[in-house]
Amino acid sequence: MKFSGLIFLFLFFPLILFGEEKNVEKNFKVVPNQHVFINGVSGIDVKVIGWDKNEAAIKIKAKVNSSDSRFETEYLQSFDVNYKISGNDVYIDFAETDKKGSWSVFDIFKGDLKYSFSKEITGEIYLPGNVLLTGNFKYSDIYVTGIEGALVLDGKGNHFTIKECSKVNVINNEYGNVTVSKSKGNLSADLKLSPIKIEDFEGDVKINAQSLELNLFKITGNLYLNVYDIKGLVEEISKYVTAYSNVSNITFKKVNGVLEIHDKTSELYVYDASGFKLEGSNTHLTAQGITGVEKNKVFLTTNYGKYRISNSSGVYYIDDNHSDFIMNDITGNIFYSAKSSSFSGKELKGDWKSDTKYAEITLRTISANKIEAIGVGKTFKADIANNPQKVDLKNQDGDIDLFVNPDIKTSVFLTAIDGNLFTDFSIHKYREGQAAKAAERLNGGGAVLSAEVKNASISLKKRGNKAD
Amino acid sequence: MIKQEDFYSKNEYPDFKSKMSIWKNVKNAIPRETKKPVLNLEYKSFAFGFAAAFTFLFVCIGIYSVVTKLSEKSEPDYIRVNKAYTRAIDEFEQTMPKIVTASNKSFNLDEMLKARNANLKNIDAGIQEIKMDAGDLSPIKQNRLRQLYKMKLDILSKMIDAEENGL
Repeated sequence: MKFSGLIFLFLFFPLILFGEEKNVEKNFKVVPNQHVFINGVSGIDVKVIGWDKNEAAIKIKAKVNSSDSRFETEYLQSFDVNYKISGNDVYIDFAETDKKGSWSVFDIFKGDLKYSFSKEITGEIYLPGNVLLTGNFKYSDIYVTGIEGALVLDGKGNHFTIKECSKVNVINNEYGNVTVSKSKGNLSADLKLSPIKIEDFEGDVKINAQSLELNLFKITGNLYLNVYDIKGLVEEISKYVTAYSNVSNITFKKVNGVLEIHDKTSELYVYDASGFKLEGSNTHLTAQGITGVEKNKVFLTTNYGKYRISNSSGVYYIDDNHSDFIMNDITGNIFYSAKSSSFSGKELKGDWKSDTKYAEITLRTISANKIEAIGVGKTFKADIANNPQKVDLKNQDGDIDLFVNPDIKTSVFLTAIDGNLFTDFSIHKYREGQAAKAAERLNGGGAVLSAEVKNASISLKKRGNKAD
Repeated sequence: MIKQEDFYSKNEYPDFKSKMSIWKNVKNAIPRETKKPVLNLEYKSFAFGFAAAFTFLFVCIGIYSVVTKLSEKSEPDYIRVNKAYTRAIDEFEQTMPKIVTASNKSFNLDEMLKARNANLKNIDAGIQEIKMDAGDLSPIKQNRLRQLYKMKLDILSKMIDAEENGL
């Protein structure tokens, strides 16, 4: 090799080797509580770290790889991270060329059949911990930690990871994901196709979200959700939870405050909530461990759907149309108003009061002081396990089937207008016009058991023959 | 100058009828020129040329496919994975029209399908936006693209499951 060739290699070898990379390092003063605005370019992987110095440090490395080697150089020449201080605001702007590289037919000989470009921009930006930070990013991985001032992150296609920040206020994102852990603030998140995970958050959280996965653990404040088509798990919420859900699948666990859900067409699972309000339409609910007492009574206003509640306590107010209710192992009073519905209860310990039309009611083993029901069009069945203080049942165009203890001490009054009476107790039956009647003091008499039907029959039988 | 009248008297000229007869005989005496075919093929040359053209075409296709495959093999894994997703999604989508137009759907299934279709549109918009920068193979963008593909595949799969289960 000629001497001039060696000189050429010696001079340009470093450029050939390192021409794909550029390092940007800048340091400048930042006063506490200044508002820092970071504007990224697409595809950056940057950590923003709060530290205890009153200065900012930018350490960014850009690495590119393109089929157009001239463009690699041009891109790196244009790439920079600039800063500007204007009053109380500090602007940190990433800059890159708007141009694109090109492909020529001779690139075939390099094995490139088409134009390609790839960049990796990585690094850290250190800021004083007590600044306010607003970031705008696109298709980037952004990790923020140790920022004590108000934090706002906005953009599209980002993976936002926020850890140990004190005032997480706003996060908006599409097509990415968001993780917030061990942080505080008053968070309002607006998300689209961007799953979110929040863990150990001190403060209120408000989330508007569409189509994503939602995982929320240990939130000490109130939680507000407005979600559409999501799969979610919400666990350990200290205060009030208000959720507006549509076409979703959400599990709520351990809600210490009242859980209030306004739902349409979702599958909801509720485990351990103190106080529960549900406005459901075509909802499928499975609930366990609800305690609705004193101010936190349980209100279920439902229209179509299936509702299963078990192992729960409290006072239940149910106002329903066209739904199926199954309630098992419930301790507490139930007030049931329904139309064209069905209710099936098992192991109910509490009073029952219902006012229904075309709603079939089956109470398999109920222990209550009072059982009162007015109905039309469907059968009322009850298997009464104790000696209630009052049983007062009226039904029209629907039978009444009762099973009571053989040793029950009660005064029975039965009336079936245009219907029949069936009993295996020794009860005196007689007719008055169209009405078949029966009256008897069973086992010496006691609290009144009164049942009256029209165009239907009454059956009073000894327990042992369970209700269907 | 020679004049016709110096050699022939007027009555020696042929009359009209004779002229017609003479020219008719002259015409008939001239041999007729046969018509040349429009396409005068030299079949042997044609066959060789045709075969050569085909051989050239197949060689070009072969070279292109080999180079493409080699080029694909040299692609990073995340690009190849995204291409696999695209193929899988295409296959899935071909089965979708039957599901979307299925009759006697339950209300919940109908609502769910509406939501899923809306989401698919949103995801497609996201995919298109990323793909617009066609040459950009940056890992982060490819990662987002993969995430969207996964979401789309997941939604399509759920739609099929829901339809099968009748929700």
